[in-house]
Amino acid sequence: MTSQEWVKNKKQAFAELSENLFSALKSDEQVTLSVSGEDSLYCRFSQSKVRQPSRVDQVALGMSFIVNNCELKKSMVLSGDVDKDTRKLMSLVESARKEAAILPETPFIVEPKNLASSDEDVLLAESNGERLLPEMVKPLQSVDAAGLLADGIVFRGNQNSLGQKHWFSNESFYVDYSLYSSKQKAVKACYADTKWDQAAFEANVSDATNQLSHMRLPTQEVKRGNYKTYLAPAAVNELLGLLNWGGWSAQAFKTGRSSLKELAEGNRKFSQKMNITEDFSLGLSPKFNSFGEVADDKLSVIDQGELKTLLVSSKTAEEYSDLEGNRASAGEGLRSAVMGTGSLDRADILSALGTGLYVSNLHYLNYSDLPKARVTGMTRFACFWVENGEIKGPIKDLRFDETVYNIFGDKLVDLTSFAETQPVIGTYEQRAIGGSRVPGILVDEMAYTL
Amino acid sequence: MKTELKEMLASLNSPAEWVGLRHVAEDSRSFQVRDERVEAVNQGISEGVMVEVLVDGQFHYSATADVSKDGIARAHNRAMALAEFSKGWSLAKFSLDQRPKAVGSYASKTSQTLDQLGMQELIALLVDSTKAMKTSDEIVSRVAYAQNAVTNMTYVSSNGSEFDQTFSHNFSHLSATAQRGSDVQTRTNGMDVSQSGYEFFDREHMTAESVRIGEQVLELLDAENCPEDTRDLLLAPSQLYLQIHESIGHPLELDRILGDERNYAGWSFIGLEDFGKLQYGSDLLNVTFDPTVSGELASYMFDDTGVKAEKEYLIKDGKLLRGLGSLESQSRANVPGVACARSTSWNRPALDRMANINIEAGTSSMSDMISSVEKGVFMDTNKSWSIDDYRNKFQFGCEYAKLIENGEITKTVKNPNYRGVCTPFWSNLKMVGNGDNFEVWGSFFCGKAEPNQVIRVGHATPHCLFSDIEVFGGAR
Ligand SMILES: [Zn+2]
Repeated sequence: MTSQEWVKNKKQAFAELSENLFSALKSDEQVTLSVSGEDSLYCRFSQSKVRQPSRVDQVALGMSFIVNNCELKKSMVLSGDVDKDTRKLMSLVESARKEAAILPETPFIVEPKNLASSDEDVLLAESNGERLLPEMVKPLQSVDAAGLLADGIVFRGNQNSLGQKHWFSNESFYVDYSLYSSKQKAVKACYADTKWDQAAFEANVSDATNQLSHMRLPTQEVKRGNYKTYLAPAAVNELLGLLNWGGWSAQAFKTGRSSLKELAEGNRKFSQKMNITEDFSLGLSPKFNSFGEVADDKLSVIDQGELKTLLVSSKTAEEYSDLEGNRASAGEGLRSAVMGTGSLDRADILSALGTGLYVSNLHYLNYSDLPKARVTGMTRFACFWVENGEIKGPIKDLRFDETVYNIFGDKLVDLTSFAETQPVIGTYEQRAIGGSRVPGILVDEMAYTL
Repeated sequence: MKTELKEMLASLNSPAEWVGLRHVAEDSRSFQVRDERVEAVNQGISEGVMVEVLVDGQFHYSATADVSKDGIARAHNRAMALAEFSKGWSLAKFSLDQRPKAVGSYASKTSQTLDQLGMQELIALLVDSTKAMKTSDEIVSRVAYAQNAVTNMTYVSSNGSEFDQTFSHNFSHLSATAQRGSDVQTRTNGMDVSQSGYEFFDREHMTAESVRIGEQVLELLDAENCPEDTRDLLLAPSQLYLQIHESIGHPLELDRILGDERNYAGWSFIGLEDFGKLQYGSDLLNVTFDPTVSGELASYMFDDTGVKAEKEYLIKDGKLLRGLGSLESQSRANVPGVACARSTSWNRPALDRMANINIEAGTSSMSDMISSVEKGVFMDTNKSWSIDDYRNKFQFGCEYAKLIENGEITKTVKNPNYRGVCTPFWSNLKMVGNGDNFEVWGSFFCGKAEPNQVIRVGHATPHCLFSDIEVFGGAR
């Protein structure tokens, strides 16, 4: 079956299932259905050899059922047999009706609307398929590589009982991997695209192998202390990822759980050099959310260091009359973040850093003081001690503990003139969708505590 | 289900050396109330089968939600296609030795269903819990959450395995957030979990917890920051469970030590040569893999490859004995392991996971421990966690702390954090609590593996006292 046929089948099954349900609704009932699915090939590897290859074909359906000011959420996994799935879905509807009859109201319901529909498929004429397994491992045979290949189709759909429909599908792959030297030093790399190109993957592996040669320099002992630091785009992306954990959320702000409280209250600012936009022109995420609302192409969140807006879902806007919704996702996180670039050219990074730490990746971030946006985490993979603009050698992992207001604000020296696109590499339950585009940053001083 | 699966298995006529079918069905319900108003009433059902084939010494997997005979046959063919393309590239060679024959049945002990408790009563209980947290106008948010997941797993294989296990897992979370000026404090009941029925959501217990949380969050608004120095640290099980998880559980996973997780979850500071030799902590440290504790989250009869689960010492008198490794990892590492091959659901392969990883009770009472401390701090309920990819350098934050001065608990302090390095930290373990201060905790959310998997784990421990730990407070 081609990708087009596979997606057409899933789309049609979703349409039939929706129609079966909508035609059985009573006049006072409203429903929004969301669907997310994948046909994936996953292959993890270690020591450049294959471990636990798997195929996953799955579709999850979510339903918001609204009656008498009561909203119930039900979800199920679709078998693909529309009759069987309809029976299962109708039994969920039956229990939702019974529950709505006995439960108190659920305030701040976002009711379905019929504003505009959308339909977008980005599929390959010929899928990559299982042949990627040998093609991926062959170029890795002269190194020690560990990682994951994920390939296939991912889709999202949304349909409500008023007739509004959205669909987004995408066929792509990534090899998210790391290479290891005999002394167990590592560099991280990623090869992501739509159609597999063996020569491009070989070039990607060859670049990473060259970087690994830097790791053969003697390991530098770095004591705790404050150091000037260059954070490469992947490291900056980790920080943005943590801020997505409630930082931009208006709901979190109103309930005391936002890490960007002081920014939102206007008591703190980022550097004037900082600009962050939700920008769907990246093309990695659908513009519609689980309510079926379509976001603007661009939404400025940070403009020259100042917060322009928090992310406000329609549900949050229902609850707080002083907030205007901006069709954010239910979780009120950035789905397609683009951070503006600065003036630091790639060739000048080491000289601008002078003496300090070159950090390519960060790992396991968490708040050590949430309302003050103080973050702790570890350096990971290729991180170097640099002296007078020259790489002296790799470091042992260090722990930092620093506020976001220092990193993105008072201590920010510059951002790089280039940015890198980072696809989301998440596969909890299903292969995730989305990504971001961020530059590297130079920070005058960061606190390393262990 | 078992009979149907056996028929489907037979009808596959598979050319593989071995085939296993793992059927998983889950029904999960969750309820959330905020500020006395219903915020979410959710139900999720899921059903699917993982087809596993052994070809040329490698296991290949194919997951499908189409559990019909045709659906399983299609998934089987996809697993066989993987075997064709990965031929010659497998990391290790396996055999039937890694899939022993398992026959039996397991079910969580439960005494109350949702219908028996009543959905209205459960919602009323959550509403009343948030009401009980309203101790002041400074409280800006009060949340009460209840979740139950019933999971049934049925497994059959071509070498005669047939077993089923039914789990009922619960999770309750109570949380109050208070704000005064730029200060925000949150107090919760931590991650209260169990393997039981709806009797877990007990009105008396949840109301008492809500009152305590509502009072203690205000105490925190009035408190000074935790001091920044080096002192004795008394940890409650509500924090210690995660310390065990991150700095004993994860580093002992054999697949991490073998390097499979290097690209994602990370590696381990432990080497295969350390088993049977390394002094992991003080001789008071006794850690077990114990899937037999009634009511603990990860108690079970068989792991997901059919290995019978039994209690084993991982660390005895401080010495490292055994890893958290499945039969597959044991054959690769040549190190003793446990029955710990587990998967998140039907859509992922099983791999080395924690189950119940517990610190065995010692001999000290709470008053023994407190009175022995000249200068220390007692920390309660995990808030923040971070550890490096070798599972060595950690930092934890807690919600609530009390100073211990000259053998007595004195004032409350806020924003308590501590940091350390794994084996020096466990070597500083100087008193281990007795059965009277032993508590069963756990987590619904342990993440690992590529593709990613989340799994439920249990951790039981008494209160423990550590000497000379770096502690510090919030941002100035
Ligand atoms: Zn974990």
